[in-house]
Amino acid sequence: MKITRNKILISFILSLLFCFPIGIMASNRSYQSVSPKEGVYIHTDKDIYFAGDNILFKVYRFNLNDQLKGWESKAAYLSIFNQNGGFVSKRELVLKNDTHHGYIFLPDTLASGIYKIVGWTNSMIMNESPLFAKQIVIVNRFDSNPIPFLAPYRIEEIKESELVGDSTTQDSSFSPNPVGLTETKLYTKPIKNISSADIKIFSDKEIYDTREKVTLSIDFSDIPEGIASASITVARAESFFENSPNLLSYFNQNLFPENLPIITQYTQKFNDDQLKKLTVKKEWSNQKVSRTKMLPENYGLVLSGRIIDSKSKRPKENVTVMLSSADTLVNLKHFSTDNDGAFYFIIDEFYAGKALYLSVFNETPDFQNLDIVVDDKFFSSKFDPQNFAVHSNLDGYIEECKLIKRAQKAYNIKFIRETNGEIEPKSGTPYLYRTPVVRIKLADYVPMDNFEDISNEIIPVLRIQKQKYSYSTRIVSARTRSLLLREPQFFLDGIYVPNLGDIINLSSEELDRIEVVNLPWALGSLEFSGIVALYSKNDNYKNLNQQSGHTIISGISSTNGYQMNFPTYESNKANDNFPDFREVLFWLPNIEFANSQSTSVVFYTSDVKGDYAAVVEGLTTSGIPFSKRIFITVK
Amino acid sequence: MMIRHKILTILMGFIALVVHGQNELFYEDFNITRLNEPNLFGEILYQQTLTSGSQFLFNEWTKGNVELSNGRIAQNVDIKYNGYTDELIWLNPSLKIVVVDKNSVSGFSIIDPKTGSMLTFKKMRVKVPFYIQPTETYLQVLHQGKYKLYAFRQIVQSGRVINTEKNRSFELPEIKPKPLYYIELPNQNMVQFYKAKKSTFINLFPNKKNEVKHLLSSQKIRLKHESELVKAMEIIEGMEK
Repeated sequence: MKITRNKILISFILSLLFCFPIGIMASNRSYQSVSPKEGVYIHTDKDIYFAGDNILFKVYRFNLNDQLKGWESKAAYLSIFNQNGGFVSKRELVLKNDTHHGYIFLPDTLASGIYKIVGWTNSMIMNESPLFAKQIVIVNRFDSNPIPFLAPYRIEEIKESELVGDSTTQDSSFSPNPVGLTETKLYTKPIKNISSADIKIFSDKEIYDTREKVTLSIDFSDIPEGIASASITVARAESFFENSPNLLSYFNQNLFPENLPIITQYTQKFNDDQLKKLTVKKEWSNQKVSRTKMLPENYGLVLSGRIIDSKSKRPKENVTVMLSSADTLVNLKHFSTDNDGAFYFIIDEFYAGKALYLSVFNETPDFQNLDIVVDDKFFSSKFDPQNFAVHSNLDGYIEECKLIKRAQKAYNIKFIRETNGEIEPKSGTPYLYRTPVVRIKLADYVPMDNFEDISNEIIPVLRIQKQKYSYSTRIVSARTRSLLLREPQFFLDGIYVPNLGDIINLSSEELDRIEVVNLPWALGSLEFSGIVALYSKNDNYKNLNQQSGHTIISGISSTNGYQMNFPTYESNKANDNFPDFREVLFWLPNIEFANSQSTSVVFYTSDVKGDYAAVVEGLTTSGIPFSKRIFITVK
Repeated sequence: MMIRHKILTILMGFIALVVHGQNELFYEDFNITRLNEPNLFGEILYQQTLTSGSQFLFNEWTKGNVELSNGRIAQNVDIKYNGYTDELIWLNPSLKIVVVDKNSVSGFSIIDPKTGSMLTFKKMRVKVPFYIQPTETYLQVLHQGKYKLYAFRQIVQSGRVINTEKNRSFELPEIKPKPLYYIELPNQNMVQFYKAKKSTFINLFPNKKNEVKHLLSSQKIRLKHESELVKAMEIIEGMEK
């Protein structure tokens, strides 16, 4: 009996042994070869801008299927370009709760014209999903009126039949969006769609005086699941196009594109032509290869690129690439290139708003002859504008705005205030060390002219010796009191510096403190024979550039860092003496929904009289979109 | 009986390994999870203090997770806990032995290679023998609730021995485990002891002395072993509810 029982146990274990590796693979590794189907929508405060304005925007990311939960993108991209494909703005955006909001300043020197805003995620490109695209108009106030560039595309009126949206219409001269910004005109044909979440907007009045308080109530009592995110804009009615996409229509287009006629004016497909612009030519073999592997950005934005030999242009394998950014502490990520010379970093919130410094680890042989080529994620193309359904008073509005903009410039009136952003704990900080072994404040010592003198006089563990054209450095171990085998690594204001020569001339007047870790140190698989970190008083890291072996990438966009400065009047009498020429009365990217039934927003009208449209767009917690609009008048 | 015991032990170890295997996301052949993982960092150890007796909680490298103070978790890494120096030791991908920077760690979990169970350690500031000020110490969490029970798996010197090697004699410290227990009370006061005396334990609950006394005797808990101490804490927790 005993023997039988033991035999059974042994057999069971043996069978488990065979199953064990398969079990591990099946249960613990998730293999994907497709990325999630998702879409992106960009809500802007209006559709017509003037050079010198700010575009206020909010990006919504939504799922188009539920199959790949956990793979949703945490990063999105936005670009604005003119008809010739010339960029006005490129933004890499960190998504928080599937949204991002911010502003883009339009330079005063921008020419009048039709521009395109395009939004996408990596997954949308990998799935060949249509990207979000929307036309806007930018007017330079020094151009004459009527704006000649708009004339060929203006439609003063949308016909009722076109609003219904005959799905067989293939007329490319006008492709109506049957769900325009009219709250009553939803699909009138019984076709597949996602029903709009039923929210209601009410204003306390229809007609207001100038500088009068407006209260808009938003009732969502018919939405039991609640609102995930919503945004509101209140702007002059003339500044919107009747056939501009809204969240609801765009959502339906992506889910059920067969419902609608060709809407190439609102979508842009990432085609082979675009892909060719992102190729890296293999000169040595005359073959074109694609950019580095595009990855889903479900953990965060992915910074990728290649290391190539500057002479032969061949990709280099096993090169350690270093990524750091300016900060009050040394931060570092590293990646060893693969056989394509490719490197990848996930850029998380720690890097938001910061410039990124890439360099090659100086223990790589011949590191000074290696180039860092960062993948360019942005693309543009020439485009033929599609028709705009404009307001009947568009010309009058443009003339009026020209005067408004001049007055705003004269009074230097700004409605956006840059802030330092919310103070968030530094989650995910990629520390290299936490506590140094030696910490020196330069103010405690006699001033010295350069770092070589500083080191020799007040950092006894660090030895710097000048040689003919370079410096040799060694460090004494805090543990063994003997010299460590290799040279220490240097950092300036948190950024890795491969060449000591780029910081050797820093004097006591320029430096605040020096930290030393005189121990053999490891960060992952990377090893250091000591670390020396210099911190300057006046951001001397800004002198680091390509000459110092750095490739600098401007920071990814942080949602924090700005505040709208709309005037109030009842409680703040000081505003009474300033002119108020706003044609955007209100913008709130994140409406707060405290209770479960309704909410309200409050703002003041300006001195600019006319009809205003209040547009609310958003998503419920179950991902149902809604877009609603009402009108108010200021007299 | 012995054979079955050994077979069962091996079986549990495998089950633990299967269960503990981390979730990794791959896109085609690219390990995206690995790309997102934080790097551990610390001093590379080239020499270790020689002792007679093991300095480690477990002599072999075992898989574990390390929770960093920045909120990130390094998963499925090869670690050991050194009770002699109260340090977490990590075998890095280049097979170097690294003392993980203690300031960067808020806790870790490690698999007991014998039982396959997961042991959780938390870094806490407590008073330890021979230190005037409270120091940051890795404590094993034995019980969590209104009352918390921790164990400091310290390995201390108990004497000195003379070793002879290649005709040369040298003295080595002799070390052995001497766990120190902490009970954290609801008012966040910490009580520490090597061995829990029944009377001392009962006095921790001044308002419920009789109840505690009765519960311990009815469950035949004498507090002679660590397992009894854990059981006693669970009973007290149940009593509080």
